[in-house]
Amino acid sequence: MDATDQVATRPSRRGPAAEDRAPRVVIRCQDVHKFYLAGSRSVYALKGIDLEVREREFVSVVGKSGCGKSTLLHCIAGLLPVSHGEVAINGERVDKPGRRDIGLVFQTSALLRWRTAWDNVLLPAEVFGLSRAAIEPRVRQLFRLVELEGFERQYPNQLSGGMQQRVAIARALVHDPAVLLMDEPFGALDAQTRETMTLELMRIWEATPKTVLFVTHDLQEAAFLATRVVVMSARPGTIQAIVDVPMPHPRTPDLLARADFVETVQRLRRLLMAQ
Amino acid sequence: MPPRLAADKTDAELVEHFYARAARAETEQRRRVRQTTRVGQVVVLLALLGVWWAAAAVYPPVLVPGPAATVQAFFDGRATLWENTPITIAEIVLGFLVGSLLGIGLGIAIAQSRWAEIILTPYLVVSQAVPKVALAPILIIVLGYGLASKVAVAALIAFFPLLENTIAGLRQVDPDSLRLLQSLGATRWQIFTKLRVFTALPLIFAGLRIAAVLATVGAIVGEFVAGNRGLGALLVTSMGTFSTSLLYATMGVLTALACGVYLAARSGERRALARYNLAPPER
Repeated sequence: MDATDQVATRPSRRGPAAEDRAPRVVIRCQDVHKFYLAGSRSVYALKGIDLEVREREFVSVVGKSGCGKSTLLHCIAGLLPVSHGEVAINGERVDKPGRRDIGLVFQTSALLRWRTAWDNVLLPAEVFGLSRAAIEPRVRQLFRLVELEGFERQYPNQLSGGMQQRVAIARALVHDPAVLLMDEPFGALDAQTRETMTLELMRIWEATPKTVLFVTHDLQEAAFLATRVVVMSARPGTIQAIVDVPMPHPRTPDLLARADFVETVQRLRRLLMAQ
Repeated sequence: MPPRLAADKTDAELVEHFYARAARAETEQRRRVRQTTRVGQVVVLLALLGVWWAAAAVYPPVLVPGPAATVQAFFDGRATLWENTPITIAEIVLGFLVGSLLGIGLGIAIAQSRWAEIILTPYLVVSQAVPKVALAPILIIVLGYGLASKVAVAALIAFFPLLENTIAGLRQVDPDSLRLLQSLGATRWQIFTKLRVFTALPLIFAGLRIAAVLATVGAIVGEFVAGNRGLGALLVTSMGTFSTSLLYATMGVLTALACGVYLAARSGERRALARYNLAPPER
């Protein structure tokens, strides 16, 4: 009877322990709907989005253009109000922008051209009213992380597109946010730079693991970076499927040729084409 | 077919070889462009003087004095010119300062509020259409014949381009930069001082350049209407007394003055934009 007892008790003992070990939910979307009027037409951008992103997860969001993936990201950042449902970060309901625990990167670098790269990275700290002296060691460290040492005094227009996005990433990280929201950050770069930046981002994420939500329309990029890929379908934007990418870290370009990775990308492609 | 270059030379030597040649060609090209430009400009100047001279030969001196008579009048009338020029300069400078400060100030105020802009739009459009110089008599009736009325006319004309450009400049913000600041929880004041002011600067400086020229026009118009002193008044008196060559000389001084004002404004604009690594607005 001893043996049966043990078998019976094991799951119940493992249950709470496993929950303790599972990373906590950082981003939670519950039945998020977004509807808006744009001039004479109405847009049902998001319909019933349920999504949980756990701590230190890297979640990519893919979908055809107009599927609401950017809208979802803007809602999570608090830049757009939701029409129904709730977005919460770290358990707190998001209803306006201005959280200090998120960092944002856009498709455009959104760098201020009258500020040097260094001063651009300092911007969030200035807005928060942190002292320059306190933050500067961290800024120096970030320039090393994004491999832009020596370019601190350059103005954005003196930097290449890829370098500008590195500055934007450093700026998003300067206040050490728990969450990084990236809206097609490499979308405006040429194919070569894009590939380099994808590898760079992987390296940066492996060095400073954050909870990342990464919007893209490039399936290979999405799968290479992510632990999970959310596939969205359009009009109205819904979550069609969530695909796990279980390949281990650190990830190197070799992964791109691995059969199971290729199969994952192929699966994503089939999902999108089935729409 | 010349011998192959690369065979017996290092890359550095090849670079030196091509660099020297390219640099020489470029210097030569630049020199030629500069020379042709100068020659062309002198030709145009001579042509204009020729037209003037020909007109002077056809018409009697009291109607069209020639170049020589004008220079003569400049020297003969230098005391009068010397006396009147500072007055006009003061009117231009004060009018420019008052008009542009008010334009920028009101522009900032209006740009703070959507409601203010929506409500005021028809009035701003009408004010654009009003021929501002036509308001000179009205201002002079209120402000009298002294310095104040001319400053007011100059300020009024200088005011509108700054009002318009300040509002437009403060509004034309990069949406992602704005979203970024909002996502950080920046206050309106922070968004204003860290973002909007800088995006507005190129248009504000373009407005200042236009205002400098318009202030000159305003000061002269003011003197036309209510002048006993200043270069504009001198133009009117010269015309009345048929001192046509003095009229021409005065016109020359005014042209030089307007050029000076414009160049000063433009150099200020360039320096300020370079200081903040900003590009001039696209036309």
